[in-house]
Order: sequence, then structure tokens, then C-alpha cells
Amino acid sequence: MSELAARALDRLGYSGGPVHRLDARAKLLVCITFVLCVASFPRHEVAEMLPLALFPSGLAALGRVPARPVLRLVLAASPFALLLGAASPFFETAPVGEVFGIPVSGGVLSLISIVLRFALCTSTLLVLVATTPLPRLARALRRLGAPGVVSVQLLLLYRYLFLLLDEGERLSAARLLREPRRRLPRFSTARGMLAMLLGRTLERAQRLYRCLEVRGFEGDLPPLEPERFRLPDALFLVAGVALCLIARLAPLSRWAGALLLARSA
Amino acid sequence: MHMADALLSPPVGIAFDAAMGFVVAGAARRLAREPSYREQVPLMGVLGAFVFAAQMVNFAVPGTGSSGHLVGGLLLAVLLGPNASLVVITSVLLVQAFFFADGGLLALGCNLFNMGFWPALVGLPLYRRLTRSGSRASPTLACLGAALLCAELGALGVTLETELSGRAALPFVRFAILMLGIHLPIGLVEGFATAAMVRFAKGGRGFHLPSLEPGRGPLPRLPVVFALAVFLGCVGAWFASTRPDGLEWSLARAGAVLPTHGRLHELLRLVQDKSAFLPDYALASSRSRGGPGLVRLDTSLAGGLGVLAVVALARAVGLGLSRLGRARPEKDRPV
Amino acid sequence: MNLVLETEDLAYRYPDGTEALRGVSVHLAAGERLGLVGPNGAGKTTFVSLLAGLLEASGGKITVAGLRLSSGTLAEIRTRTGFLFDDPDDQLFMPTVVEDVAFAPLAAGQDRARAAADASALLAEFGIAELAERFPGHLSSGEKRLVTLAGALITSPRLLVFDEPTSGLDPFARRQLIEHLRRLEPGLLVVTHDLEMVVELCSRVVVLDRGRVAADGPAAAILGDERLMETHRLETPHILKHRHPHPRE
Repeated sequence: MSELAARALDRLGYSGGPVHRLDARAKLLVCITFVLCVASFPRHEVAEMLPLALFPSGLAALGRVPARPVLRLVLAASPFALLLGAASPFFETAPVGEVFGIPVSGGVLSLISIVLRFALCTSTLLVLVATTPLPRLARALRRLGAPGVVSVQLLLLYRYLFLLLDEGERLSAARLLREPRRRLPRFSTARGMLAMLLGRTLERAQRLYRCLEVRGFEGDLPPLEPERFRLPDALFLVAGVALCLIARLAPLSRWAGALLLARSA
Repeated sequence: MHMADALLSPPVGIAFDAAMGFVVAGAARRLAREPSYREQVPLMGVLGAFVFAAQMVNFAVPGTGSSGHLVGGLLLAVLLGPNASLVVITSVLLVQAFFFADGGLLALGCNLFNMGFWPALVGLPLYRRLTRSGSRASPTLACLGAALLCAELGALGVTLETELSGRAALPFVRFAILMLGIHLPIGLVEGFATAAMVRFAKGGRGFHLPSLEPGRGPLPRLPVVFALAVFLGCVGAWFASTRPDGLEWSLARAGAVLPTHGRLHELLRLVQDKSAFLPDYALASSRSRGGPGLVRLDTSLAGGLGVLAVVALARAVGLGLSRLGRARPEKDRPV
Repeated sequence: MNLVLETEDLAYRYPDGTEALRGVSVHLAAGERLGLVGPNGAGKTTFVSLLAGLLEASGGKITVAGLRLSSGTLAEIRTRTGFLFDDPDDQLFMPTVVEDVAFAPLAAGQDRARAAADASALLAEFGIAELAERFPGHLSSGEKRLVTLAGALITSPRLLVFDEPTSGLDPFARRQLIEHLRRLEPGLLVVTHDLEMVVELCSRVVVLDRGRVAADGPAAAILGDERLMETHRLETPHILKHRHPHPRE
């Protein structure tokens, strides 16, 4: 399920559009700023985080990224963080705020805050990859200072990721055909499947090594043309960082609320 | 289990990002200098992809009703050596964060520390020691021991990072016991799965795995020490934070006689306040008339929801426009 | 005779002592096309690995384009030789098609602009210029095969060694590939089970069986010898069986 969505996001990364054309470094830096801003909100903050939703949804809209694969991945994602957050209302029961007269406990606010953070941060990264193919992100990381070894590793992992996922899927499907009544294989069966997968992986490694060697591999996978940082990229970077900081430091929701409620008064 | 950006505060996240940044940079440098590096590159790449495929092969854990899967940290360390395994795990975590909404960028350092650092630093050496020639322990037992140790240390890391970040309101001791408990069966499953894979990989078939030779390059010393210092600093910070007058209390405990007023006292207070690690829990919203001590959230909540409504509306309009745009060429086609 | 490939008495022994190749002497002239056929386990892949310098021969010598293969000449020989292996996915390891085609000159440190221009020209020649920025994993098997061909040709090699180039291709892609191979100038050594292609493409054939050269001569004659083919677990290609006059005869 999430694998299909991941493949969909990957394909989307290769389409065109104004967001796709932006320099990968600029996009990455803005996303990092965004994540830092979200993470820096105090524990019980909920309302002031809401305006930040503009960023991933705006980027998705401009980048023509459909909501479905993104939402699917956010909802299907590892619930570990959410489980931890879910325990909060049980432990932090003292009320710290009130909404229209109803007291709200700190724990409830923590929980909602965590869910919101999760949705904001993960959706931003997903939209990033739906508007930037991973190889470009890998090269961007390198130009931002990450070791070349890590960049090469990312490129190769990405190249063979879906191939190996395919092989894994074939093995799982074959197993299911043989024992349709067992939803999950036994450990001994899984051991055999994993061994087969590992065997194929090691064989592919040997063949890949052969191909690399005969073409003169020296340890690096050099790019043809490094991305150039242009004016639109600079504008995006400055605007993105500025907007994140404004959303973090200015009480936008309170202002919007004051505006809304004053008008309706 | 992955730490998420949602559970972290910037200081904790950045501390681990920096610590692991140094470790990985050092590991990458050492790795590039190894004579077998060129031969390892393709193996590293495909093994990283293998980890993903392997994590999707869920199996029934006998005895419990739940499922388990190979995580791969220890397997990578055994097959590739400590430096290469750290690089591979970094790449795996990045792809998980970008494609699968698992983990995150701020949490990268924490996840790397919890799931990659321990296998490379302690898991692999323990495994090697237990499988040394002349040792009576079976390779399976060695994997079990190493995997359990790494799982528990990782669980401890998650607990500490969550506690210090202060985003989730959980009582530390109970949470720690729960995490450590849950990771016992997780560690066992990982151990058995890893042992099976190592047995297979070593079992001939002509696979040349340069790192299975003993004595493969150790991790870079200084960054490792720094990372451990960050970890211990976290432990210390948790300890200090549970004592409100931490600094004075510790000093008094140590036998020092402290002034109760005067310049030194003021200085100590200043240091105490500035180094208070845990975040301030005060709400950003304005304090207006509400119940005693309670903050009114109505205005900001209304405003925030209003902003969300605008976002949703804009998206709907945008989608509608693009659908119209796609439909129009049909209508304009000449008859 | 201008030889691009010459092996003399080539021998290889596995680390456990088993003999994989013995007394293999093969030659290929410039512009000539040679088919290397034989049953599974005959040693064809081992032979290719020796040519690629991935294995070290236990006896005999290999000369490529006038250079004797040794650890010192290996790098130079690899730029003079283009290899194609059976699974294009192993060979397409770069993130975009054009970067993959340009890999060999880039890795050797050559000028980026020149490498990019050469790569684009080759892609255009094969009619796949529009694939330049695509991710290799998203291509069809026929497209992948053509890209690997371009990647092998970019160093203007004198010798081409192809291991099962048509495996996994549908009939249309296979036909496309054969037409492209037909137009190639360098000396071509094709290791394959696709005997129909050998008849069409190659003037000479070497049959390898159990590590030794069992036959070496004109393609039609050897492949048309049904007795010989059967002895070595091969089969006379259909086109020769029904006694259709071969265009080359």
C-alpha cells in the first residue's frame, strides 16, 4: 500500500513544472527550516501551527502534486510517534486552556500538537520528493556538504530500490499462492524467502561491480552538469525561509482570529 | 522504531544531528581510503535496497499474535563493517524519511544513533568476540546477544530523546520500562533473522564479502567519543532536570557549602536558568480573561481554522480550475 | 590482418582447482563479427570475464588492439573495449540516461561538455534522444538495451564484447538491436544462445564446450552442421535447417 504510493511519488518527481525546476538545494534548505520551525513550537501549541499548513499544500498545488498519495502515506505511516502522543492525555490531565468555556487538558493539546507536527513535517518531505527526484536531492546534499560516499550510496540505493522491492513482492506473492490461508509466513518460510532475496542481491552486487569496473569506475558517480543556482531559486529560498520564520514568530492565527471574530461581532 | 520530527525539540534533534554528522563524515572518510572501497560500493548500494525489501517481508512471530521483520542494522554491520554500515543506514533512513514518511530530517541524527550507531560500535565487536575461533558460543547466539544489546540501547535512546524533547507527556521511568520491555522480543526476532542471513551469506556460493574478514577498519575515534558524550550529556540532562535545584542540590550533595545570597548565589542562579534544558511550556497564545490560570484559546483556534479553510478552499479551486483546463481543449476541437 | 582481439592458449582454473578453460585460441579482425556459442557451463562467461580483466588467466595471453592484457594495460584496454552484459539493469547504474551513457569518459576525467555532447549524439543516432533525462529504471527493456549500447560505444572502442545482448527483448526490440549491431564498425564478439542472430550477423563462429574450442570457422557451415550442433547441446537454427540459401553465401 505505502509502496505503491511511494512509487507514485517517485514518478511525480520526474514531471515538469515551476516547482520541479527549482534548485534542489533551495528546496531542501527551505524544508529543513520548515521542520525546525515546526519542531520549535512549544508543547501545547496547536492553533499557531495551523498557518504552516500553507507551505506543504501551497507547494503541492504549485507542483501539481495530487493529495491522495501524500495523504495515503501520512495516514499509513508508522504510528509510533502518534502512539506516544496518544498516551499524553492520560498523563497530563491538568487543564491549561479553554475553548469557548470548555477546559482542555495539557495532554489533549499535546496529542493534537504531535499529530499536527507529524502531518506537517511528513507531508512536506513527501511533497519535496514528489517535486524533486531523489538523485537530485542526493547531489544537492553533497553540494551542501554531505560526504561524496553518502551521495554515491544514495544514488545506488535509489537505483536498485524498486527493483528489489519488485523481487520481494514476487517472492511474497509466490508464497501466498502456495499457502493462501496463512496471511503471514512462518519464520522458517520467511527465512527462506529472505535468503533467496539476499542471494539475488549479492549476485546483483557482483554483476554491478563487473559493469562498474569495465567502464572505469574510480569510486565516484560524477554528475554531467551541476545544477546552477539562479534568481528564482534565490527568491524561493529567501521567501521560504522568511515565511517559515514569520509563521513561527508572529501569532498569525491570533491575528486572523481577531480579524474574523471582530468582523462577525 | 523510528523517532519522528513530531516528537523532537530542536536542541535534542540538532545535537544528535551534529554528533552523527561528525561520525558519518569520519566513517565516510575512512571508508573511501580502504583499498576494497571500490568493491564495496556496489554491495553497499544493493544491500541498502535489500534492507527495504527485507523489511517488507513480515512473518508471524511464534508465541505472540504479532508480526516481525528484519530491521537490518546488525546485518549490515556484520556484512559490511562498521564504517560502511553507517553510511548505508544513513541512506536507508533518508529514503525512509523522503518516501515513506518514516522518520524525518530533524530526527535523522537520533534515528541513526538509535539504529545504526550501536550495531556498529558495540553490536559488531560483541558478535566478533563471540564468534572468535575457539569460542564456544554459536554464531546464532552471538547474533542474539548483539541484536538484543543494540535493541535495548536503541530503545533507551528513543526514551531519552522523547523525554528531553518534552513534546510527549510521558512519565520517564514507566515509559522506559515499557520500551525496554517491548524491545526484548524485537531484539530476539532481529537476532534470529540476522543469524539466518549471516549463515546464508557466509555459506559459500562464492560471494566475496571483504568485510567478513576480521579486523575491518574501526569507526573514527574522535567523532565516536563526541557522540557518546552527547548521549551521556542527555542522560545527565535528564537526571539534572528531575531535580529542580539541580545545580545547587548536586553541589550540596557533594559537600560544598553554598552561600544563600550574594554575588556567587546570583551567578549560580543565572547559570541554572540559562542552562535549563527542558522547554518552556507556556502557551504562545495571549493570556486573556479565562478561568483562573487557564488560557483562552478561542481566538487563535478560530483564526487557525480559518487559515486552514482558506488553504482547503484554494486547493479546491485550484483543482477545479485545472480540471476545467483539461476539459477545454476537447470543446475547442474543430468539428 | 589487423587483429582487434587475439587469445593464445588461454587457460583458467578456479581457486578450487577445476579447469574452466584450456587452450582457447581465438582471433578477431577489425570490422569482423564473431559469434561465440556453446552449451551452458562451457566457459563462455569465464572467457568474457578474462577479456574484461575481471579474472586473471592461469595460462596463455590476451591481446586487444595490439596491447597485451596485463594489470598495467588494463585501464587502457578497457577504454578500447566496449562490454555489454546480459542484464542492462546491472549496467545502467546512473540516475539519468544521458549521465549513464557519458559515464566512461566522465569517470576518466574528460571534459564534461564534450562527454555530454558525445552522449547526446549517440542517443540521437539510436533514435532515443528524448530519453536523455529519464531515469533508467523507468525504461522498457528494449530502450535499456539501446542505452547500454550507446554507453559502450562512447569511448569509440575498437572491440565490442556482448554477452547475450538479445536476452529479454521482445521481437521488435530484438530486431531493432540487430539492425543497430549490423551497422557497427568495431570488431564484434557476440556470446549468445540466440543462434538465429548469429547466422544473420556473424561471418564466423567459435563453438566452446567444456572449456575448449570445439569448432572455429564460417558461421553457416558450422551452424548448419546438425551433427556437430547436437554433439555440443546446440541446435541448427531454423533458417539453415530448411535449406534456405543464406544471404551471405
